[in-house]
Amino acid sequence: MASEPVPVLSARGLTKVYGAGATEVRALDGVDFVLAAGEILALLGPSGSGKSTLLNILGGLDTPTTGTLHHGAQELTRATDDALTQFRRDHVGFVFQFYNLVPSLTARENVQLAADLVAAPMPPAEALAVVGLGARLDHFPAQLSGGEQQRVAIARAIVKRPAMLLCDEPTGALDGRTGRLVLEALLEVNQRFGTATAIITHNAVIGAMADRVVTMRDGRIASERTNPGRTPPSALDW
Amino acid sequence: MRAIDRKLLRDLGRMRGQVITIALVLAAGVAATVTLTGTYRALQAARDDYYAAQDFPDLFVHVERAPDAVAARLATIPGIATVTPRLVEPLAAWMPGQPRPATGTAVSLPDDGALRGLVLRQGRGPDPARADEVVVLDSFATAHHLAPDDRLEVVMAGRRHRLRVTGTVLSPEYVFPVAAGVVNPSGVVVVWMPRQALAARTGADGSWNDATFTLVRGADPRTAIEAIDRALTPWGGLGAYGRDQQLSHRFVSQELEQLEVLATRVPIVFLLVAAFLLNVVLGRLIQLQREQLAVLRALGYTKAAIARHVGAFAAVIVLGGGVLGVGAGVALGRSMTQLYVRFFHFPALTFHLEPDLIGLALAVSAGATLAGALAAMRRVLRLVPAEAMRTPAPARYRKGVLGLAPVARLAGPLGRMIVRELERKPLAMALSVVGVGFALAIVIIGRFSRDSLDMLLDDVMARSMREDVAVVLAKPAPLGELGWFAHAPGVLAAEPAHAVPVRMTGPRGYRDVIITGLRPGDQLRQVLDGRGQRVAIPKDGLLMSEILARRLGLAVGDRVRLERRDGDRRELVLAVAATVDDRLGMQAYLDLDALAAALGEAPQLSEVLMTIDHRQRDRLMATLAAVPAVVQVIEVSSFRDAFAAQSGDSMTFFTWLVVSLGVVIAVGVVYNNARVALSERARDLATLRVLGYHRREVAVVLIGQLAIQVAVAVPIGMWLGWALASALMSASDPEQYRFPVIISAQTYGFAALVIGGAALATAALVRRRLDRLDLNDALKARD
Repeated sequence: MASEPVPVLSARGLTKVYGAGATEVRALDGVDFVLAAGEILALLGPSGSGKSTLLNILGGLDTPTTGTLHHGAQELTRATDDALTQFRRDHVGFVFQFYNLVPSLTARENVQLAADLVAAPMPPAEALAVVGLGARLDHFPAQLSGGEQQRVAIARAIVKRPAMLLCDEPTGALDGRTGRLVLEALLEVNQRFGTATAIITHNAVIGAMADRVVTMRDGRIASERTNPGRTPPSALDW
Repeated sequence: MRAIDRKLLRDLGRMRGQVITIALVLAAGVAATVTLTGTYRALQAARDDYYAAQDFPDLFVHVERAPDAVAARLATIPGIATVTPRLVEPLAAWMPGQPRPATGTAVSLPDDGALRGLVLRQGRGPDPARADEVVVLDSFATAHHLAPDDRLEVVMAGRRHRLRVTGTVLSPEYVFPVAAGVVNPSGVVVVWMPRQALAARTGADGSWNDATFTLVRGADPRTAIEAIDRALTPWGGLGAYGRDQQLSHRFVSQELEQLEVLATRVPIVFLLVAAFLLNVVLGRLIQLQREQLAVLRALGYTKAAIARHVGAFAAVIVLGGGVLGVGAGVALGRSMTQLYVRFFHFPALTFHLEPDLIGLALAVSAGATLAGALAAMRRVLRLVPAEAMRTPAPARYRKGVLGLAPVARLAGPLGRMIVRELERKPLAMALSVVGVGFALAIVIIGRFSRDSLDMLLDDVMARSMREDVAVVLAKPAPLGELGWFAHAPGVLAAEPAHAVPVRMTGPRGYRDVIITGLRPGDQLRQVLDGRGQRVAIPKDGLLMSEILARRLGLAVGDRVRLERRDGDRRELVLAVAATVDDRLGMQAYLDLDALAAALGEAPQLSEVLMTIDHRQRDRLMATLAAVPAVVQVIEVSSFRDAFAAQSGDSMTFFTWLVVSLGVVIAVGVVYNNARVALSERARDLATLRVLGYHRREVAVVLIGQLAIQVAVAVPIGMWLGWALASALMSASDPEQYRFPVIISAQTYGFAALVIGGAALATAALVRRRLDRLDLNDALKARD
């Protein structure tokens, strides 16, 4: 890793409050955070610790109650909805726990759906080849296994050649063997394109494949460590 | 093709059942608008163009006999543009194969024989040099296969005349060929011949007995009528009248008025119902796409791009439904217009597609559809994408919102699922119920006019006109003449009636009406009130229709001024003894003896009402035909048949049209409700299956919900149907006969059956879908 990492995203003092008064819930409570170019970052923590809230705010899917978030010189916390949409379109790829594929479109068309949004996307077939699905281009989501569906979702996320990939429990719905295949795909993308990758997981084992591991608890960052090296997904076991 | 467009196509294909049924609902609304309004406008344009092209007169008058010089004086009356004096003679024609003669009139043409005000259909006009040449009313010629050069034998002025037909014509005075009591084109004969020829046959040289007038623009017809009446009193004027009293015009106008009510109100109901349903159904359909729309947002699609996507989905439905609706509307409109071609003889009656109508209908449906779709989309997009995509938190079910908790306790877990679902979404439940209710109401609208007609025929025709035959005399005769009729062959009973035309004046204005003198104890003519109860003819004073009294500003006990319109034209004053809420409009009755006393004469009769032995009918008809004093023999059954046939044909079509469209709407609503409910609950139901419930048990949850909605909707729909029917009827002119709002038990039952049928068919479809529910998919898939 470079000794002086270039931040893709940097956040200061992020809070997110749901409700008010007695029912107030502080999902995020003063989080400072940086995602560096080319790194793989694991975001660990139990349910309700604020991981997903943080990821959604980082990706422009949600806005913080207070705090600032910068992408380069652009301050995203003050951005309009249109500007956030443009930010997602140009720079962010999402991968969700439940894949969220459009059931009426084939694997290739689901990827195409994202490719249509940018000027110079990867060919959808190539993106699918990267995740090892070159042979299942014209299958509908219902004809694919869970792991295959998640890999289609990854292909859909990377086809735009985004600067960052935000993954919310990408293996949460998968068994260990299938989960490892998905992680391989994420690693492949990171190595080939240098995409900054944030992976939310409650599975601490996955932290070993990351450059950096951030652990959250009760809306705050509880700890942060840097791994000496990445453990290949094939060596992970859970 | 862009992937998002492909998604649109696939979604349309996947949801084709819903897409098609929603489009059909919309098509029904558009078709109703195009058909009814288009037909109404076609008829109205045909009438107005015809009247304008042929200078249909504004006023008419009949006199006993007036010299030509009087006509010239009439032309100087302010407000009168033209006067056309003419001779009009009653005639009868025995046509081969007919049991009784056709009756009608001979009308004079100008001396040059020009067919002024007539439209030549076949042949040529009569040659003034040939005394026997005539043109014949086209409807009569068609009914009897008369062609130019055929002979026609008629009885006129007490003599037989052999005439030669040179052509057939249409006349705006006979758009609907009608003579009092005869509404059958084959029974109404009208011939036109040059005035000299007619005068020579009737001995009326140098005089006239009938005139028509056109008014200058803006002239007040009432002032003109009064001036004409003053001028013609010495010549036995029978009272000038406007188009509103002209028989053919009156029939055509009545039909147009009825059609106008249907054409202006029914489509509004249809479009509003369709709009409501589209809004609700499409909204729920979009709501189901919540997660997919959120994914599009997460990928970076703008709100505008998603709005275009949702809008295109709605637009396909609107366009499909609109095109189908316009196509069906044109086809149905043509058929409906063709129905009128059989009754109404216009030179041209064609259905036209009205672009403004289509624009309006489409704008309303497109507006409703888009509003429904986009409102739902806004609800989805208001959620930040993250929230929309997250596994929805378990729906918040509560206990007892609708007070159904006791039911839920009794019902077991499946019953509880049904009850809680209904309680969780009371608004969705209410909207579905109202939607199904409207569909049922529309079916009722389609059928109730038939119920009302049956009621009218049964009530008015069968119970108040109990005679088999009514004989109309040329002039009132002494009451003693009744004996002769009573003893005619085949007559079982004979009762007198004396009809006297009067102008009745009250504080609020005047009306020309007929006072019918009846003997209080007689049975054949009965006055019935709105509930069908017989009302006795008072010994003294007038019994009059409530609506007539109201229009004239009269109440029971008031004295009313009458001017006789025939005979000595005397003025008399009578008391209003009672009013009756009858269904016939503008009627007045008086005791026969009291009428005679008021008129200062011995009791007279102008009509004889008879019940007959039907085996001797033909003999009786032959006997009556030989009596010169008898101008008309009206068989009530044929009158009723003709009335039923005329109103019935257009009504059958209307019934069929509206009921079909109602069925379409019913199926559309029920089916879509069920499909949306199925999508919303697929996971729950799959979970039940995984737990070990049988298919039929799982089906109970969904179908039970559907059944409860339909069960609640049926009484509400019945009430809506009644309310809409009342609203429709409130628009018709009460001076004509009034259709009561009658909805028979059969109609209610039929409507409920239609809805029930739609519900059953839907239940079967839903059951099939449930059987094919893939358990894994339903539990995994989150679309």
